[in-house]
Formats: sequence, structure tokens, C-alpha cells
Amino acid sequence: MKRLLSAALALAILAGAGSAEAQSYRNRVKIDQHGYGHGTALNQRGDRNGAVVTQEGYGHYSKGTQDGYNNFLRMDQYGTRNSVTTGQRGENNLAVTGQEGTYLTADTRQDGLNNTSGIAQIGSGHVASADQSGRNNASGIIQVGKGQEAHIVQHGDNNISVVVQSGWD
Amino acid sequence: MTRKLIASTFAIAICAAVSACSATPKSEAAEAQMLAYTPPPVPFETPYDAPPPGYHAEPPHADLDGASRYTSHRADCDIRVSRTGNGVAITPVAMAGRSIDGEYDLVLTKDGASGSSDMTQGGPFSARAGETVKLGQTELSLGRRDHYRVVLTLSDGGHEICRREVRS
Repeated sequence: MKRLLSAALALAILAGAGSAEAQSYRNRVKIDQHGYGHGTALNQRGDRNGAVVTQEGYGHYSKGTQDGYNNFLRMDQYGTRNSVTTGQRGENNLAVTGQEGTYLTADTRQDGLNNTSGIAQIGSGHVASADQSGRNNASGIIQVGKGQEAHIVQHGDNNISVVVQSGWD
Repeated sequence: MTRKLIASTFAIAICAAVSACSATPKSEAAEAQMLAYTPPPVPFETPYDAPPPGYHAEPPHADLDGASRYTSHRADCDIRVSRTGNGVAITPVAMAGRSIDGEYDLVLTKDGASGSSDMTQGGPFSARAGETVKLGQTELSLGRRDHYRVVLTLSDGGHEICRREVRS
């Protein structure tokens, strides 16, 4: 839990510091893998995109694709055998996923301008997805416990969705 | 309304002054002096950081007719690697001997006990003659038995103009 909170805090700091760093570098990637048996695939096309991947534990998988300008994604995973996928196309999109536990799955897709998505999962066997296209959409999913499932689909402009679930199945 | 009037008046005044200056007849002596003027030589300075140890510049390319191409007019690239707390920071760099509007591709693969990472990065970039451009930055954590390989390619108009590879 603390790690997820620190990840969120780090995101806020990064978002604030991003403008200064972007002047020095164009696309930026940071990959931290500790433990063993992880897999990461990242693809960045365009300019001023940023991606941070942190994986600690065993057997995590993450995949990120960015195409456009000034998109930022972060994928943090702790525990065992979690999986996260994030795809961004357009400009100024922000997606953050933090997972701690086992067999957690998260998928985020953003297409457009100024979309924001956050997924936090703690426990085991959760599945979450957020699919946003358009402008100025925001979504948040928080799942705690075991076996929760949440899917958000937003097309258009200025939509907001928040899902918070806890418990078992 | 008043502001617009002042601005337009100011613009008209500038235009009038410029046209008046250009229309001013120059004396023959002044014209001869201008024609005889030769600019002072510009001292050559290395436009970018010194190359890393072990780096050797490629010899000038020979064209089909045997003439050498002027080396300072070509583009170069480099992959700068520096140590971080738990791995390396990789910075692809383009060094332009001439103005470029090109594209870059960076492919990074890492393998080891901690797992594998595949990263591709690319996009358009532009650099003026003599300019060095940092194209991106990648930070990678490395375990004791982890290995990585990085390949940087620059292209201009679909033609590859530079390629560098670094591996651990």
C-alpha cells in the first residue's frame, strides 16, 4: 500500500518536473526490474513521451506503446505474476497503473487529447481495464481484495468515471 | 481603438523609414568599399562534446569520381552510456555537421536473471549545422549477469546517415 502511495506521489512529482526535463530530452524511458523472470516491452513514437516501468518480485509482464506527443505512462508492479498493458495515442495523455499482489491484470488504452487514467490494484486475481478516446476524459479504478473486475469505456469529451471496489469476488 | 491606431501608425512609420533607407543613394566610394569587403575567417570550433574514449571518426567517404566528401558536412551519432545507482543511463545523440530534418530509431534489448526488456524509441528530429541534439533518454536497471544491446540509427529522407551500436 505504501509503495502504491509513493508511486502516486512520485507521479505527481514527475508530472511537475516533466516540463523541465522535456527541454533536455525528447522521449524518455526508465525501466527498473528487480527480482527475476520479468518481461517488459516498450515502444515510443513521436516526441516528448515519457514511460516509467518498475517491476519487483517475480514474473511480471508489462507492455507500453506511445505514439504522439507529450504522453506519459507509468506501470509499477510488485508481487508475483502481474500483467499490465498501456497504449497511448495522441497528445498529453497520462496513464498510471500500480499493482501489488498476485495475478493482477490491468489494461489501459487512451486515444486523443488530455486523457487521464489511473488504476490501482491490491490483492489477487483482479482485472481492470480503461478505454478512453476523445478529449479531457478521466477515469480511476481502485480494487482491493480478491477477484474484482472493473471495465471503463469512455468515448467523447469531458467524461469522468471512478470505480472503487473491495472485498472478495 | 486608440491602441490600434497607434500600432498601425507605428508600423507605417517603420515601413516608411526602411524604404527611405533602402532608397537612399549611396556614394560610389561607399559601394566600392562594400564590394571590396571580405569577411574575416571564422575560427573552427568543435561544435559538440569531445567524442568518448575509443571512438574513431570514420574516414571521409570517397565518391564514385574519387573526390572526397567534406567530413564536417556529414552527420554523426553517438550512444552515451553513464552509470546510475542501479544500472545505466543511455542517451542517443545526433551531431549535425549540416542541417538535418530526419528520424531516429533506438532499439534496446536487455536480458538477464531479472528478466528481459525490449524497447524501441523513435521519431522525428531536427538539428542545425554544428548542433548536438539529445534524442531521448533511457534508464535501465542492471543485475550482475544482465546484458544489454543498444542500436541507434539516424535517417534523413529515408536514407540511413548514421548507425551506432553499444553492448555490454
